[in-house]
Order: sequence, then C-alpha cells, then structure tokens
Amino acid sequence: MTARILLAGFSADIAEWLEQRFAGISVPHARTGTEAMDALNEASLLVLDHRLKDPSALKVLRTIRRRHPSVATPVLFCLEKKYRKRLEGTLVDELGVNRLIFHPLDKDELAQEVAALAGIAGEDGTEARRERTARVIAAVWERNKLTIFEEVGVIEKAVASLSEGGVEDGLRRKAQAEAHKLAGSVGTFGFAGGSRIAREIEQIFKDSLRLDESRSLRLTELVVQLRDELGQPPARRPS
Amino acid sequence: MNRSILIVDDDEHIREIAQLTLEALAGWTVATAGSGREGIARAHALPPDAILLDVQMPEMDGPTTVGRLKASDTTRHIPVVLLTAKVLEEDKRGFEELGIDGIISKPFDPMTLADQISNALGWA
Repeated sequence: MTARILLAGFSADIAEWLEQRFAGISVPHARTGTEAMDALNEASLLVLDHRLKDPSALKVLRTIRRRHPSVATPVLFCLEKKYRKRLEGTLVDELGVNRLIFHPLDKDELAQEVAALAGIAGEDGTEARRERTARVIAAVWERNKLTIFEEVGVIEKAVASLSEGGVEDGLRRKAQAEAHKLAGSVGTFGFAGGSRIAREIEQIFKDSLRLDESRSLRLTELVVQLRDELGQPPARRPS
Repeated sequence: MNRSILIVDDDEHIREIAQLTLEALAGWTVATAGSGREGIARAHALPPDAILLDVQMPEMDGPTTVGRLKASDTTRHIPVVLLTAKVLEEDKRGFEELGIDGIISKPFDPMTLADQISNALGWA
C-alpha cells in the first residue's frame, strides 16, 4: 500500500522533496489548518508545522483529537525551539504527538522520522534510491533546461552571425565556451547525443581560422540538431 | 562509510547534479565551489576526504588549482579526482603528472559517479 504522508504547513517544495526521497509514497501538501483537516482521511502520517495558520497547528490537533478520538494516525510535529519547554508536555502527553523535531528544519532528520513513523524505512533500499535519484535528475533537468536553452541561444547567435558574413571574436569565444559546457553537462542529464553534437560545435569554433562556408553550414546543421535533441525527453538512465 | 567530497566546477548544473546524486546514492557529505579560488578556500577551511575538480574553468583552471592545493601543507594530502571533457590520451597523461588520483570523463553517468570516485581512490 502506498504510504500517504500529509504535510501541513512548511513549503510545497518540502513535500516534493519527500516524494523524491522515498519511492512509492504520496505527500499531499496542506497550506492551511483547514486544508489539513479536510485531507486527513487515509493519511498514514500527519506532519504538522508549528507555523501552520488558519487555524493553527495546535488547534488542528485539538480538533482532530476531539472530533476523531479513534483516529490513530501518527503525528510528527515540527516545533519552534523556543516553545519547547512550554509546549512539549501538551503536545506529547495531551495531544498524542509521536515525535517532535525542531525548526530550523533539518530535511534529513525529517526524512528519517517520516520513514520510521510511516513504516517506509525498509523501502529505502538500493533500487529505491536509484529510482529516487533518477527522478531527482529529471527534476533538475526540468528546473535547468531554460538556462541550458539560453546557452544554446548564444551558439545560435554566433552561427547566425557567421552565416551573415562573420562572427566577432568575443562572440565566437563565448559560443565555444557554451558549447564546451553543454558537451560536459547535457549527457549527464541523459542527452548523450547532445553532448556529442556540442563537442563537435566546440571543436569547429575552436579552430577560428578555418571558419569557412562549409564549416558555417555544418554549424547551422549541428545547432538545429542540438535544439531538436534537447527538445526530446531525456533518456531515463543518463549516459 | 560517510565521506566528505568537495565538488569544484564552474558549471552550476554539474555541481547540482553531482551533489544530489552523491548525497542520495552514496550518502556522502558534499560541499561545492564554483571556482578554483573558492575551492581552495573551502578545502583549507574544512578539508574534505576528496576533491572532484573540473579542468576547464575561467580565472583559475583545474591544473593550476591542483598546483595550489599540493603546495599547501593543509591540503596537499587531499586526493583529487579531475573531471574533464578532454578525451585525448596526451591530455590525460599531462593531468596524471600533476599528482592527481583519478580522472573522470564528462559527461559522467550520475548513477555511477560515486562508484567511479570510489574506484579511483580505492574506497571500494
């Protein structure tokens, strides 16, 4: 059965990070106390942030305990350290919080507690880690592809100048540097062909004295191929 | 075993993907630097178990950075693995003369990066 970890408060990227950290779990994110109470059904674990509002995390807990006394969903509570003395007894003894962690949030500690409380520690084996890493690589690609296409744009600009009669040396060197970066990076994201194309572009720009018409045409072809290649989904297992 | 690695590369994409995969797959502690100068400063402040160092960087390239690291009593013992897009054997031989401990080609496979570093350093 898929573990469902309800994350109430925090930022949405923490929920995304937890989903990437563990294979086969879902982490719905509640931005407010009301959303948390509405989404509590079927949660394997409730992770509450003391900073939650509308209503507060404490109010959410009291309401859950009053309205649903038989619900045994474990609760992990992230408390502001300065309130520890004042609230620890209430949270643990009165409101049944299973574990406390403290702000500033340590994501690894959060993951450890989530794994233990939701019983998913055993799923964090080698294959799960590889799955998770593949998802992380795909997410990093999605986050970075705009800047990578900007690097391709610099090469396109240099190639366009070249086909219009000549490229200024500064732009040529910049395009060569961008091609070098792309040759080293896009294969890591799963675009082995993209790395090969970028390397050929780098080599052509490097030899500035031989940037004749035939090389200009070859560059035009290569830059189109590069954009096409990077427009495809990356290979699942980067090469 | 928990290891600490310092990644020095001017390409932020490479730094991010190497850091994430080494942390997630190997459980290593990873610090990063965007230039040779920053890498040297970090290595002095908190010497890591090994440094993964890009060859071609603006301002201070990988070989120069290795030279500075090997010239300092604080950092000369730290093993260095070079990360390079250069594939020619003569380039590789030149790098080996710097006293480095291994060479990993770019683009690397993030799934096996930790294994490649471990193999180069005899950490297996």
